[in-house]
Amino acid sequence: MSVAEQNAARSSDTARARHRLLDVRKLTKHYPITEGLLRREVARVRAVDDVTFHVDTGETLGLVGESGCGKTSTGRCLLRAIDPTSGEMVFDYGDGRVVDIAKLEGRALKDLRKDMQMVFQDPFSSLNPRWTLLDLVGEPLVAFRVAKGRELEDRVAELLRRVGLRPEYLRRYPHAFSGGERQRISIARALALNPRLVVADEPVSALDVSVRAQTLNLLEDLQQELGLTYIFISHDLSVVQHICDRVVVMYVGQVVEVADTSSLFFTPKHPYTEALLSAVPKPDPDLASSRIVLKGEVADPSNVPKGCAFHPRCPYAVDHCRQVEPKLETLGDGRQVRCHRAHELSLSGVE
Amino acid sequence: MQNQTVPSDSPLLELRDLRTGFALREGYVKAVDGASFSVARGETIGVVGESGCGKSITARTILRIAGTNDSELGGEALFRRRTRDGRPGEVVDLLKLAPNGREIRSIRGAEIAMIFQEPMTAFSPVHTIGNQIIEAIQLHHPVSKDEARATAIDMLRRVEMSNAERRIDAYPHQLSGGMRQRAMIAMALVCRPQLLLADEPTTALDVTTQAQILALIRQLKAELGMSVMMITHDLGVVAETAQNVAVMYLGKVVEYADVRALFHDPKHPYTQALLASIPKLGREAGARLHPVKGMVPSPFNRPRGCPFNTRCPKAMPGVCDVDMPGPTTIKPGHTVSCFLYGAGDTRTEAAQ
Repeated sequence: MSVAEQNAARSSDTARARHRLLDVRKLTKHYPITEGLLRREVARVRAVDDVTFHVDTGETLGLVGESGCGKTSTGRCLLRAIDPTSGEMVFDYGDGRVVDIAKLEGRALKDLRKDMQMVFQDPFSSLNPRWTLLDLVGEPLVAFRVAKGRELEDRVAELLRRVGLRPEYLRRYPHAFSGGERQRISIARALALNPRLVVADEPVSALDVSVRAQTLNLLEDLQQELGLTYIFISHDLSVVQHICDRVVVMYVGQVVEVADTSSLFFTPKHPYTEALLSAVPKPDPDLASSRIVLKGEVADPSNVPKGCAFHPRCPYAVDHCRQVEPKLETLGDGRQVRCHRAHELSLSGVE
Repeated sequence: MQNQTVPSDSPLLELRDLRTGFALREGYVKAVDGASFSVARGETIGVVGESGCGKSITARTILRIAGTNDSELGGEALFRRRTRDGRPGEVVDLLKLAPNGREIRSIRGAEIAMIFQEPMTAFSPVHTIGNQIIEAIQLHHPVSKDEARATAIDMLRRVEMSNAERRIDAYPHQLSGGMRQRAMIAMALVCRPQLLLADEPTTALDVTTQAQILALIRQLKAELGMSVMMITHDLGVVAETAQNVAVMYLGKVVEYADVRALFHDPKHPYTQALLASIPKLGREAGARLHPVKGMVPSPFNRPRGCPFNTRCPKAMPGVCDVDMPGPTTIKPGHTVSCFLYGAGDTRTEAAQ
């Protein structure tokens, strides 16, 4: 069965039963800071701190936040590129098999990677310059002994065609391609094994403006055709609003808000979300910027402020926020927010 | 070139057919290929374009730091100097100055300053930021080290660096990205330049820090009455900061307009395509994007005729792939280089 047929079969399956593909519960990744000869632990960087969210099949979930908020660490934990300190990541194949990614070892972990792939930010450092496109895109197929020889070439050519590259380029090296084309190569490689979930970490941030739109459209088309599920990690809110169905906002390793995209952008519930939205420069000179300029800087994840981590920068902070750490609460409409004042504040989103 | 008869309301900087080329092993690159626009006193001009369009090289050519040995310069960059008592002085052609000569060195840093995208590479890692700012002051003003240090601390306060007295002795790596960018702005502005060249000053920063830095540049510009050339690929940054915008593509200024005209009534197909290709926050989010087809051509292999003709949806075969159109004035202050609007005004009026 060809790639396209397999996927057609799968996407009709998923259309029938949209299910919870991945359930992340209390995911935590701490990096110890050690000192002295005995490498005594003096502090911990709380890169990912008690993160809980889920992803359904066929949707695009955005992970947004500023640098150091833990969005990339979260993405890497999901693929076990780094090992989480604690927490569960339950992956449901949809055919009765349910595994906790955090507990997988050896063979089972390798098998899982067929179903989860990653696309990285920088297409210049994520492709081995000594490998041809055939090697790069074909590697997963060889590693899992899916295809070799003539069949491998055909499969790779098909993948290249699918991402809009000419199959004749099979024997070329990545240096001959522009940033946008290289990102297509990365996408082709990620798709080689028909993954269910693709974690895309800032996939368009390094691309030129005119090429960015091509890549976003390609990701959308592939999702439609192949029934893919994306976790889309980005700091660019306009891109996130464009491509994501639901969004998780992170701040200093914690989830501060989860909502479907339009609710989050039009009626944010967390003051940090409001400030982020307000900070985005709008490409319209008439939108006079009545901007919330946050004071200070992102908190240090090795020395998180007491109470709510956001309180030193929050324009709405009250005494309670400085003392007590808020919990991630579920509001009536299924939205989640980590703020003591979520019920009383009326925050403004984008127009 | 020296000219004492120019009226004092003349622009601070006027680029006329600016050309910068590099002879490289791979071939000859026309990095800037006939850029003409001017910067008025107190104005912020946005220079937008994608990578390789020549926007950074334009700024570096003005400062005469664009590869001095292997570069070939053409055209004029007329800059009105400031007299010792702060009045408009004589006009010099920056391109005619020796790249390491006394005159350009007295302009560089003192009258025209530049801030860069990545402050970590722009600062020396082995000197404290204080010493680097003090060096910049003492290079241009005959003051003692203590006076210079006091000026530097004052400037760091003005860029809202908390604990300026302590942070002045910090090394660049001890500061966060936003703080480093503040320190660089302090260093650039400490001699109160007339013109600030800001090359992607916020691209490496997070959005909330970007908002802080843009607000800071805007506020200092008003305080010091300087002009700013804001070089960026981010149309949002341009819309919020600039009064006039030059859109560049492969070394050419393809459109020049005031910011409202550019965003609401763009004329050049490239400007139109760029605006259609960016996802916008707001109600229309999620609508299909309209990308510009293809990619920016290699600088070693420029298309014949209009540089955009290979990607242009409105390209006219036999016209656009033969000749380069000159700038055509749509209305005063709005020029476009595209055959859809004519072959161009006469060359001498090309500069807006």
